Amino acid sequence: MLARQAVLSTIRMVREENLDVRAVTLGINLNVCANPDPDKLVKAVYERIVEKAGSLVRFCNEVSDKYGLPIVNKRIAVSPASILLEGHTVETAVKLCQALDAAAEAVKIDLLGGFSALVQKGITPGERTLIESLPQALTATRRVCSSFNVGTTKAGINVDAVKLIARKVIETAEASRAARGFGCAKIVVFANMPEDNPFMAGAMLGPGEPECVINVGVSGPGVVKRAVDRLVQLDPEATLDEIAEEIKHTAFRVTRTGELIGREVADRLGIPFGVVDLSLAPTPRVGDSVGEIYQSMGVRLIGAPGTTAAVMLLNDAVKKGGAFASSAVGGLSGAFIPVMEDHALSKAVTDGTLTLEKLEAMTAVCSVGLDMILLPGNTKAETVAGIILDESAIGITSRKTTGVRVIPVPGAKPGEFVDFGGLFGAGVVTQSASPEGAEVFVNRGGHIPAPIHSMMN
Amino acid sequence: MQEPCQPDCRRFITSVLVPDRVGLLRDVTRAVFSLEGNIGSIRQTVIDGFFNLVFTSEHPRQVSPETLRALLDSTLESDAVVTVLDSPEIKPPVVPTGSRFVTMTRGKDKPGTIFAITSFLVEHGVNIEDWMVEEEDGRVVYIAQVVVPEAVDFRMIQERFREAMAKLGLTGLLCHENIFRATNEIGPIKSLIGK
Repeated sequence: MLARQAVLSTIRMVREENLDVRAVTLGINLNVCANPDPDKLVKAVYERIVEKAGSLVRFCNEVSDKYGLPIVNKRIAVSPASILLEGHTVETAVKLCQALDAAAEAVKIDLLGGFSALVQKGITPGERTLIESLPQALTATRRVCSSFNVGTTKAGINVDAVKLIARKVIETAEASRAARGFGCAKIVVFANMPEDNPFMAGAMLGPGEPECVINVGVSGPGVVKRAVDRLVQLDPEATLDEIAEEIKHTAFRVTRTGELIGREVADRLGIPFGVVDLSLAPTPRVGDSVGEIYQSMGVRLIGAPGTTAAVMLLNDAVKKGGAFASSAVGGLSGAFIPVMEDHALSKAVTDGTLTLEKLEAMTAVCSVGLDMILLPGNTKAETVAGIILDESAIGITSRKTTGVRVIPVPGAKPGEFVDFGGLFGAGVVTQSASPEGAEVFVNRGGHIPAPIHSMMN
Repeated sequence: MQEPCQPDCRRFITSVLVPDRVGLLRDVTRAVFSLEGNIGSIRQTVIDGFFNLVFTSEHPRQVSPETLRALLDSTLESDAVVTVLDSPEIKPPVVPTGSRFVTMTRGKDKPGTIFAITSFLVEHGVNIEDWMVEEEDGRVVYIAQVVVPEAVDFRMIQERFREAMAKLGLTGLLCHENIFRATNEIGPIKSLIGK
């Protein structure tokens, strides 16, 4: 028999606190589609995705109805597309990207990740082809997301890869000038990239993963914010450890919900369940913001001293609750701070309380990276490369994932407002206190060796 | 569920309704024990200050329902209502099997709401296993654990329930009980799948 309070508290989370499952992502390995004939390759890719994912949305909707719980995003992550491009041309890479896009549309999902390459130690010809194709591929498609791993704690940082990708970020922005550089919103560059991340734009089915698998991203930040609000309303003098405890309990329930939904969808698809990613992914909606959680804790102006500690507290409490809730925690599992996709963070950047440098500090305590940040149109490739190197350095030194998703907006100046609409949100163009000055360092290229603590054996 | 009654035993089902006070359950069980009774299933609640108890017990054949009722009547307060029925055999349930769901209905407290909810459920072959009432922010919340027959399309019932309750000015929700188990219990989620 269910306890009365148990039923009531769960119903309250569903009805009033926006408990949901943020992403159910189907991983599909495409390696079997490799073919020297470009036409046969893209046909095989399209058919495999449609075959494996044809029932994904229907099953997600059925499970969603059964539990009265929204599944906000249904998505696909494929194995790194660069593997399929060995021996192929940029033209084939663009065709492949279009086939991925068409398959995503056919199975009614909004985003597909995995137009990706793992280049932390070196770049193969296929990986180079994929990177070179980015400006054309990402402007010719709507649903495909691209991601790269440029460094790991074990391998160090591939600076040559960072330079090449940074140049392509600038070119992609220019190629999507009419959409204000939107193509770059679909490129993320990681250090210590997880192989089972269900969230876009970085979702990919990494090596070592099953042929097909369901990974799940837990509920958005709204439910945690409301839990903190309720605690503070009941006890305005609540201490930070009490707030951490409240977040931990909420994270437990949120994680269990995610695993239940993920396992049931996987069961219906007849494939294994992978992981629950504990990351709290915001949307531009009011009440669905990570920044609002910091404000509920008492950080009135996001970016003020204390903000980084608030990020750390939130991350740690979510992980502790999640780790107790499930033995299948994985993916990124860190707080996202995607500026444009989070109205409170976006406002803080607009108001000038939150700077690029403060965001970088926040990423050092386990948020995932510099995400959805608008840069001026005159940003140089060396500046983008420098940002990627800094974030990668934080990641590989701290043995954690960090990522960069920046959008240089062609023709835009600092302070200019840009609106991508929908989940991608809006914000103002910002820049570093010193956007230039490290060109010589970046242009040396080569490889930054792995930190000493990588030698663990 | 109890095993079938031994040939030399009798089984009774007893209900007790009496204003609540400390020691009622002890007094009832002492009476049962004094008649060499063994209690099987038991459920006790307090509703608006009234102690409400239902239990089954097995006694030697020479003990009659009247003996137990008389003893309880003399043990408890004069305004206690005691019923003891002979329950010689365990009958298989006549309710349908299916999946366990929870309905939640929330709104202003007014006469006829429970009748409306239960009428809806009966019309759709849904059996109520448990019923709870809670007040929340000045609104009354009815929570029922129900069994939806396998053959019935729960999505159709879900939609109709929502609509029927909305016509009465109430918010209605029907969802599978596993969501409550998942969020409130600590066992592996895997064990819930397929149930």
